[in-house]
Amino acid sequence: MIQISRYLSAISSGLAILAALATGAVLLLTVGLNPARVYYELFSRGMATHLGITETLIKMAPILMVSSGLILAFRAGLWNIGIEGQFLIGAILVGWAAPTLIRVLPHGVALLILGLVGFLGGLLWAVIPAVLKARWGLNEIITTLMMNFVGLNLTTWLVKGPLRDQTVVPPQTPVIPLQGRLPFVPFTRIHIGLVAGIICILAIYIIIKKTTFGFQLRVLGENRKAAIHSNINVSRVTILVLLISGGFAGLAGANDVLGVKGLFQAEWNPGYGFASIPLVCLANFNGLAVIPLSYFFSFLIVGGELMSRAAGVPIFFVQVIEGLMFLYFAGGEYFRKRKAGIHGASILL
Amino acid sequence: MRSDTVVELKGITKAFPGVVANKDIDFELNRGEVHALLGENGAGKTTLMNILSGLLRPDDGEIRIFGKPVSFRSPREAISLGIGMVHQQFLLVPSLSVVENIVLGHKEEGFIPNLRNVEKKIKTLSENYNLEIEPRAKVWQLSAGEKQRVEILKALYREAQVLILDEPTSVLAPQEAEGLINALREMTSEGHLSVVFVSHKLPEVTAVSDRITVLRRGRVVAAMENDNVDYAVLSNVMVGRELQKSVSPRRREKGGILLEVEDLVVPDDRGVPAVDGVSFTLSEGEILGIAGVAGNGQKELGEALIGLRSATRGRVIFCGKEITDITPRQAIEKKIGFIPEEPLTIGLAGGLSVADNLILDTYRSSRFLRKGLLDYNKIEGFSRGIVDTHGIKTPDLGLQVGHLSGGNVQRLILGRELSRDLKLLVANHPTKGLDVGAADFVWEKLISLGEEGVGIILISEDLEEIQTLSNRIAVMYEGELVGVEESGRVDRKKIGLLMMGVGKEE
Repeated sequence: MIQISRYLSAISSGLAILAALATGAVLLLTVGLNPARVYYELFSRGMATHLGITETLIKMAPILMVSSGLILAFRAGLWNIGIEGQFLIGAILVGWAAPTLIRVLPHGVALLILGLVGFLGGLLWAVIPAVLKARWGLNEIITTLMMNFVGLNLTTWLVKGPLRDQTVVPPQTPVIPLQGRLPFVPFTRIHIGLVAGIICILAIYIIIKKTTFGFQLRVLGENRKAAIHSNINVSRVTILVLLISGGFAGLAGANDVLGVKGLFQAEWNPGYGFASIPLVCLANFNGLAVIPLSYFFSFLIVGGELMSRAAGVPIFFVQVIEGLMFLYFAGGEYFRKRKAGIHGASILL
Repeated sequence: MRSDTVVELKGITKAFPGVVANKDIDFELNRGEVHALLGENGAGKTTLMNILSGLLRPDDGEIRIFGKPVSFRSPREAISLGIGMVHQQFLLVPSLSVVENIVLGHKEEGFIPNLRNVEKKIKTLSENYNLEIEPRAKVWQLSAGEKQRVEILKALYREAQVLILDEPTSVLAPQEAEGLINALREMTSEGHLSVVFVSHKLPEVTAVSDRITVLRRGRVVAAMENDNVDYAVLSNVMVGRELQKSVSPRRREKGGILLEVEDLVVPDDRGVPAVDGVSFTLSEGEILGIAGVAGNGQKELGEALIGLRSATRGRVIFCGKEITDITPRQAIEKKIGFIPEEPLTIGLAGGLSVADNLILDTYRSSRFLRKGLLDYNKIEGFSRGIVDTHGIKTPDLGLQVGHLSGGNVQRLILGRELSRDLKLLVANHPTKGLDVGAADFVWEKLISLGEEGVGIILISEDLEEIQTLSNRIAVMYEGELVGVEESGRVDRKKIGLLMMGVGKEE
């Protein structure tokens, strides 16, 4: 039965994607564009060119890391909306520490430590919401969301002030030399962040499914009272989950600084948090399902950029597709339940 | 009274993954009658009523309301045709008041409902029908019995002409149940209201109904007028086998003192003392029955003993050690078990599987782990054992517990608690919602636990249960224990009166 429902859920996500593309086609027609040509550009450039494939796979890494943290939190019923802030804090700490550490330490060691620095940075940014939630029950949606604004402004101030590289004009941290960045996966131009991201998501999958900690957080996510009643330390689980969740966002920050940008720049915010929340929902909070979906989301972002130049469609078009996908998915869930004959709140057999 | 048909169900069939809940069911309800739907747990009663109330859609069959064929797309459509259902598990918003819950989703009230008018109307209704309620109280403050009254008032407020009550007496004290039965007879006598009374209790079914339809395994196995019905015949039809002989109370040697409670005061959710200076002792192997109407502090007493609620005064001593400020985790470590009144709100996680729920307290045990990770082969083996010995009907160990029927949920939580090695069991309404066969099974389990030396605090409103199982009986009324007595000497009427606050010994 579980197998069947998982299978159905995959079909449902697939159909949502197709329906979104179809609706997108109608929208394109209404503005006088040829959908066949737009989609041809989108898919051929995003999926069939060397550049498209490479960029897509590179883009997957931070999304996988962020999604790992989101799944952990969401399964525990904790809504960590503070990914953006946690990402930036992790990123700026890495941007600040990287040039020095890479100079004085062996490359591998330095990268491992920097990964840890990023993780701790994100974790640090989740401490306040986690403690407020665990000790006084303050709504984590509000606190994590607010911490985003603080994080954004704090990092902007840091990069324009104390951490600024005085030798260049734009406000940014010193550039990490190319040979100091994340190494490539052999025979490709894709840095090893992708491998790290896949390891993260698999680790989370196993943690949730197989460990006692994962069991505790699943119970907490389903029924807080039942968690208290059985021998689960709810405060401890709440704090740990939110901290680890923030840590993964910070790790994604380290990934982007070390693998993609090579520095931390003022006003930089890639918005992985809000891109990954719908993705994680589409995946039904299942880590394995996130892998193909994150590929597809990355492809949309990368393909959208490449296509916009070739087909003259603004890049925002792919965001429309993403939004539609989510709508159709939600609709699909509704009809799936309806088909089972459930109208109201629950099945009372 | 004209006997025209209000509701007509024809050939209703409904299947869920792994079970056919209803198969080709015919059912009729006439104006002004009480029609009982009788059957064991899982016989398909609730499913059928969920179809009638628009919550589920039948796979096949026809529904006619006042002679007109209908196909409900939502419960709202059923409500608009005058069908109101009171579910076994209440559908109320705990943080809202009684009035707010009653107007919730009621479109006629407009955008800003005039709550004062509504309150007046509710007061009139509650006086007319003898359903006493404080309209401004928040629902989370109410006992189960009071919540049920809110649900009935909600239906009446929406001018329900057909009232469906799903196991309505399972949350009521005997006198309250009697009151409900009288109220139902009265409400229907004027011919405005017709009632479907879903139950598995034979005495109340014969007391309340005009007609009886019996379901077994999703089919109608008998339909009759309620006229000189023979219990033995009826129960045979319902269960489909000879009813087991009910367990008998047993005398036991008293063991040493297991639990001492001294002058305990426990506040309820509002901070008002719900348990008000309670003292008693419990010996090893003793079953202490605590009778009482819901909302007199039994729930809080039970929760204080297992560490879910803290006492503001008094002491609890267990095995010679003070455990007044125990945590739930320590309670589990000290081998104290608990069967909550509403398992799905506190004891179980509805979205997790049967197997996950069965190891909720014991998942750390080495028998479920391999190299520090949960080993689902072992967990499923263990779960399979409990599911089989306790007769939990589930198509699959991976099924979400929220999809099980009420009786099966109760079996599951009992199976889980009994799978641990216990010294003390706090059982809060352990057979609530169970049919005769399943209740017998629970009773036998509790008695054999007592014989093994486990002390049991049995909180219940079912006097037969209390009398059958307990060595001593106490009645709880307004937070105090009144009249603790050896069970042999107690007569049922006196307990009933004590539960209602009459004849309290000062």
